[in-house]
Amino acid sequence: MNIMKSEIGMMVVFTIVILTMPLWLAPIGAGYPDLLQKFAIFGLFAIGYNILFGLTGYLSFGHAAFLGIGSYAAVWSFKLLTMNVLPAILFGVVCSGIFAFCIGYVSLRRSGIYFSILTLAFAQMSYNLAYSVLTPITNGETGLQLTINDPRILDAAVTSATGLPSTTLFGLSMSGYSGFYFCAVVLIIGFFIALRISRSPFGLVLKGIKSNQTRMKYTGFNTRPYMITAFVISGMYAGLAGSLMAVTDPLAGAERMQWTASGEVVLMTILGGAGTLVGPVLGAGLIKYFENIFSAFNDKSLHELFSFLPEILENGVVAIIRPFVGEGWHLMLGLLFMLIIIFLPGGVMKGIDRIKTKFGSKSEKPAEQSE
Amino acid sequence: MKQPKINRRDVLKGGAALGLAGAAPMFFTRNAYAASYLNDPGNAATVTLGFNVPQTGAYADEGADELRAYELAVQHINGEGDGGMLNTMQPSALKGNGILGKKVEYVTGDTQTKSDAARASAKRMIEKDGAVMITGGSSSGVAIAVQGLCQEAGVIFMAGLTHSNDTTGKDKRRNGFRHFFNGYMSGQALGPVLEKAYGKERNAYHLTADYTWGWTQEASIKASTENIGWKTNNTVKTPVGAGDFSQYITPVLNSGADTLILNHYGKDMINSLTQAVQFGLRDKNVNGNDFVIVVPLYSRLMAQGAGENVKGIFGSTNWHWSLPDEGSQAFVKSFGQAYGFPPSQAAHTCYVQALLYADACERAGTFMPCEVVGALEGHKFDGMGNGPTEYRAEDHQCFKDVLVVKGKENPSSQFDVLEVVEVTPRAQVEYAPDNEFFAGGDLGPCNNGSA
Amino acid sequence: MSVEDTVLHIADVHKSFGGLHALSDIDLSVQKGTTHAIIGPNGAGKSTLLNVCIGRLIPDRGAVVFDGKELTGKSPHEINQAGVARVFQTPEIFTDLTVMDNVIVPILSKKDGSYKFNPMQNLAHRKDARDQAMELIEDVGLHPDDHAGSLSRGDKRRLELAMCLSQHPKLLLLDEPTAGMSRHDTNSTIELLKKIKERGMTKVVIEHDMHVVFSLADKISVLAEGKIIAEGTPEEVKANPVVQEAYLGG
Repeated sequence: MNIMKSEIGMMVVFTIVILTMPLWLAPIGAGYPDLLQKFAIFGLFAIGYNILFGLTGYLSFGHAAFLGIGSYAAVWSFKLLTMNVLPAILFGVVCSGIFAFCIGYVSLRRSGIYFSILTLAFAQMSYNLAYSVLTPITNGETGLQLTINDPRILDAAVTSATGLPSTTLFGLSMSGYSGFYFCAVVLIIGFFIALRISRSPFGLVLKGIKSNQTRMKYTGFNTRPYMITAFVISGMYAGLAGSLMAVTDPLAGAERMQWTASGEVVLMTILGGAGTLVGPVLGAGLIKYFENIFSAFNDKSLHELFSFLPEILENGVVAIIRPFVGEGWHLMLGLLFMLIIIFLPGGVMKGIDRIKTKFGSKSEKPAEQSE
Repeated sequence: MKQPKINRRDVLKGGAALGLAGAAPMFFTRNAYAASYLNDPGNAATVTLGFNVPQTGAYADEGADELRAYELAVQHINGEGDGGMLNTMQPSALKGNGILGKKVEYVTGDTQTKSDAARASAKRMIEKDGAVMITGGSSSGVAIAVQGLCQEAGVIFMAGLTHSNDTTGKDKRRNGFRHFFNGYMSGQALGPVLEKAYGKERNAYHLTADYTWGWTQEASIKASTENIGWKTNNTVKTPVGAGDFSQYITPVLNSGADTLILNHYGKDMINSLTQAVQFGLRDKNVNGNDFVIVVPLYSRLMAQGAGENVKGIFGSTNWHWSLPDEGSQAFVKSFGQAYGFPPSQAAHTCYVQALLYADACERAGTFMPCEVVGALEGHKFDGMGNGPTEYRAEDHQCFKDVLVVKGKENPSSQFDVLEVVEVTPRAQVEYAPDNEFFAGGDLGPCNNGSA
Repeated sequence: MSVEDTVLHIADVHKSFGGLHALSDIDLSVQKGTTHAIIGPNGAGKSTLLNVCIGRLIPDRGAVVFDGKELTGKSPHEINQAGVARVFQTPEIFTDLTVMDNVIVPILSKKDGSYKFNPMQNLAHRKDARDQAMELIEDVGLHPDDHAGSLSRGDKRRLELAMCLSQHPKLLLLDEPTAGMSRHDTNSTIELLKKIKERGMTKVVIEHDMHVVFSLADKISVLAEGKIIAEGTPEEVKANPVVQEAYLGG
């Protein structure tokens, strides 16, 4: 497994796997653009979250706020400036970075559960602001959408008004597969940056803070600015993911900032393996896959799926499975999460490591753990 | 019925995926020459429609009823069952052999009454399942969000239950159509009835669901009640799905208002109305007036949920199962036979929308969205439960009579909770497309989508 | 003794917790290059004194002057950056990291300061830090790739010592460096500390074990009930009747 240790090898494998997703996900019903875009976007969100939670151990319950801020900022860029996605992304990342600095500056005065509660409180405040107080900016419950009459200063000279414009990268439409490939490239760049951070002196200091903050202080490190930097970086990743959501679908809604969305990224990271590089991407993919595939089942599709069984058995099986799919897919997710936490506390990546060591692998140590 | 394919995990084996890496760019051009519009069923024997309704959350009851209606509509279009409104619809191009000879299949999604989730499930149905039309609703915020998505993607959106002025007002889209009535029409219909019942000297307090529907309905009702001389005491926004409204109802007691207008829907309306009655509002007497409650948008499902509390309360509705006309009776009969109870107004509008879409495709001779838009714009029809109805070309809003209803004092069954007080004629609720409550929008051009 | 030779000067320090006078009128000077032991019975205030030195506790009165600079009220990382390192009673190491990374962290602090944003630098290319860490790890007899969490207690102590030494501190504070160790481990630790002494590093040691104290210390201060009751060379202290009564004899 030497290839996984060298930076280039890891990047090559990751790039190939991500770019070929439309091919190898098609047979399991996940090879369509919207879900593929979600894999890339939430993968990015989770990678960024992992820089905070995985490296420093600080559990933030408020990262959805930055996701939402990135979305709103990007949509405003589409409305006011141009339909080109690059300014939107830049605007989204910068705005969420500024918010992350403010929220992080206050929240990081505390650690442990108090830090988590502070971030949760800030995120809930942001949600309520977006939902009702700041309605002129966010359009409340309905969500911020493009309209034909938006100014779009930079585009005004170019386009004649023929319906709603779509988001573009210098003319290339950002919906469907091209949107996915754009998100995938951003994900790969984001993954590379995370890889470098985790293998840098800065990353080692963050791991030191997670392991023993007391020692860090008596070793001469001013831990707070490090924490704030990590918080801002992960907030910017969230903003990037949020702006990509707006790129692939130019709408920003307040529910993106709800606490459940913050909880989701925590689940993704833990499910995949906090502190590992690939784990969060894997966790994000798993959860989005479950959400899309299992929530689509209804009575009819279940009966068809099990139609090979005798009728009594079929009805029994469907009756047992029904509460866990369709609108009840969260039950399924909860069950999966419990199983992972109980039997694989290190997440899916830990499980893969175990299998590797069990089957006479050539890897010398349970590598990648602290990556 | 399509189903997700989730077996055959062995395909995950990395090697195969790597080998295919070179083929990735072909996805850019997939179907580029095969079709002239998105999700063209081509020579396939079936066509897929997407039903996007709330299965969880504050509007889940409506969503479940909508889904029942869609399933019934699919059966009738495919020539199964007793045919329902297919027999009463005037004019009708439907033959009971599917649409354009293709059997109708459908996929479903849960909107969760959230814009993001609704758009994600609509996208799944369009991109993965190849749905050529999306329909559904129950929350105007969701309906507007999904309508925008369908416009961008290039499929037809047949709105289900959505009552906000914005759906066919400032957020109207060329690819989107609404059969349901709206907040402004409710206001126009209710005004005279309220004046007759409660007089000109009233002081109204609004509790309003905090999103596009609530806002526009509040504005519409406020305008029409102030028009008959009422004063507006206060307007308070409440979050959707709040559950407990006591903190919003307590201030009403001491506000000096003698009328409470509940701009709520679904479980929210059930909860707020029940609590308002429990707090004794209806037993009060303010300024010499008996305290009254008005629920501008009524539905039988809600009335049933609120039980005793709806007795004597005025509201408006798009349709009611007790209507005597031939179309309504045909629909109530087949719905009742299938499910054992009468349909709600949400079920009715969804059923009608599915039939109208199928009929438009038949008349256009294609599923191509722009042709279907052409077939629906300005289309006049009858026999669908609301009398003569027209899809106005300027804003894709259906114009028809509006029902003013009242909670029945002596219900004969658990479904017989509303009585029709007045059928407000279309002329009274009609407005110009550039009416102040609907201004600011633009249908834009239609979109066939890129295949 | 001249003022320039004084590395650490604790001047008239008071610290009380509620009604309890943990430290009163402490006056203590540590000379450059010496090993200064502080002994005393349990609860005499030894750990409190050490905590005052590293900024964990702020004294009610008095000052701690290190290398001519006042340390009182400074935060722990500033005190470390000024050149004070500390070995704790229970080893404070990074149990999730390898031995190598454990030693690299303090070297980075010494080289890069209390905050440096270098997320794109590859740690594998920091040869300066790696070579230095490797040398120290070999000095204390550990393996760089071992996980610190799986080390024995004695090895953890040695690792912490290596981490502190890697910073070349001007003053090293040791809180019972051999507590809970076997006789064999204790002796090897004494050898290690003697080696450091040859490098001319100033040390303050708090210790229970008289064997350790008398084999290492140049000077001993005896603390009892928050006061210094005796001070001098090991021989002088051994012979002091007050000390014998308060501590050695007791």
